Amino acid sequence: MSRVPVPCHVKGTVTLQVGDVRTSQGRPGVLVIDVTFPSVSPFELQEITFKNYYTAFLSIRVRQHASTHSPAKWVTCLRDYCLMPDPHSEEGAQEYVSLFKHQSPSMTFPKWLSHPVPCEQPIPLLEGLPDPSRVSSEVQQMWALTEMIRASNTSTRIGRFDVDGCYDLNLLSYT
Amino acid sequence: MAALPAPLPSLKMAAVEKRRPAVAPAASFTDNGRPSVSRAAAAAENEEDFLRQVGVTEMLRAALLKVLEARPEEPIAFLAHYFENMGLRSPASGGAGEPPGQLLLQQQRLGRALWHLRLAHHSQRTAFNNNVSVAYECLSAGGRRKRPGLDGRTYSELLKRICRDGEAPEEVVAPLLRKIQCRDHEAVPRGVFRAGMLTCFVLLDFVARAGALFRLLEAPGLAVADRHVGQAVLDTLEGALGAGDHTAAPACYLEAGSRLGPDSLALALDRAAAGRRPSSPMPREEFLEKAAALFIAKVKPVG
Repeated sequence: MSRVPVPCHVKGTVTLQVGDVRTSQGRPGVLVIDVTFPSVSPFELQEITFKNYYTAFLSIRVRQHASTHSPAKWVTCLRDYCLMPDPHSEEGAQEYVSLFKHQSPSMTFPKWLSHPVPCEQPIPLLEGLPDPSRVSSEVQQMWALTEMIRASNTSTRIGRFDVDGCYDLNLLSYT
Repeated sequence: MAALPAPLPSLKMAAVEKRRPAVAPAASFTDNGRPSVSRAAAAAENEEDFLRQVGVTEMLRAALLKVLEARPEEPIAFLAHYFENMGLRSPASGGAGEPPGQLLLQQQRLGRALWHLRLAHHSQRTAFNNNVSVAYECLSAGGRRKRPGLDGRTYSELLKRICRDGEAPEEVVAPLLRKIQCRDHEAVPRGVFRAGMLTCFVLLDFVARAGALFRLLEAPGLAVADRHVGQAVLDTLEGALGAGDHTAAPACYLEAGSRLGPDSLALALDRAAAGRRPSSPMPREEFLEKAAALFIAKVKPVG
């Protein structure tokens, strides 16, 4: 099977910035390159080739128009792939890089583009322990009821004058 | 809260209906007992005037006001119960020849006071306070052989009844009763009565929540929870409550909020479960008793 280059349009880089663009100094560490494929006919992507220029880590996200009835979804194919072992050294800074289909976690084409990388899934609840949010809700209600009673303790006295249950005249206090 | 026992409205309404005709026939005779009614009835232009003159309009207005205040889940059953209680209040009700004995009167008074106290939940504070006042008046009313005022023994009996009807186990509420009960011979002032009623109903809510919490912690299929896990939850709650003893209001709420949030609770549960020390499981009663003890510790004793 021969490899055919697929025509693509590479848009200019966009730096991702947090905060006010005008006041922040220097360029931040994340740049985004959008690549679109104007050809309508479907193809199987085998390899991506490029020349690096001082990029340390690379992530690739793909949006695939799979079928007409399911909406197009963004899928991460590659996350933090290391291009430069030491970002402060020259190694890998200007290398030619080829990324192959098999380098992504899954082997076959449909799975590669439709299943996310495992680390995107949420951490499951610990086995055998109760749901902390429900426990927290009940305990907080119990706390609130107790605090309410503590705050509403009355100062009304019943007017006892005995000393330890005894009303003996000699023991009655004068206060 | 204990649900109001709701008898079939149709049966109770029928019982009330039996008493109602006593008004209408009397209006048609000119007997000496009710001259005003018969004269007024003869002069009534229409049914509306008649109803107003015999006091039905006023009675219904009072009943509807009570419904608005209490907002019960089932208004019809509530109204049926209300009218049944009203019938009990009138002396001609039972049809008995001699007046009922002291004990029966006492029981009736308690029953009526309980009914008033259950009309509104304690969170509807204004309505609850109103009902507490009415209950206090009802219990303090003087009778032929009773001096006005509420005595400690009746108060204690009322507290026990509330807790029993609220399905709280006796061992769980006993420490509270010891703290807030008055001596049998003492006269209970209104402020003490109101505080005691509020504390009692709030404790019932607290025990219900503790029961729900235990259901979350218990091992599926068994009625017991892991001792370390249960104790860890109770200790966390105790710590959050203890912070309120030393720090002022806003700070202690923030601290309690962070201690009782899902994240720190999850950590505490995890630590407790990871211990793996062998221990006997904690039954439900023990958990409820320990939880209630945390609540009761913050209640000011009477005296």
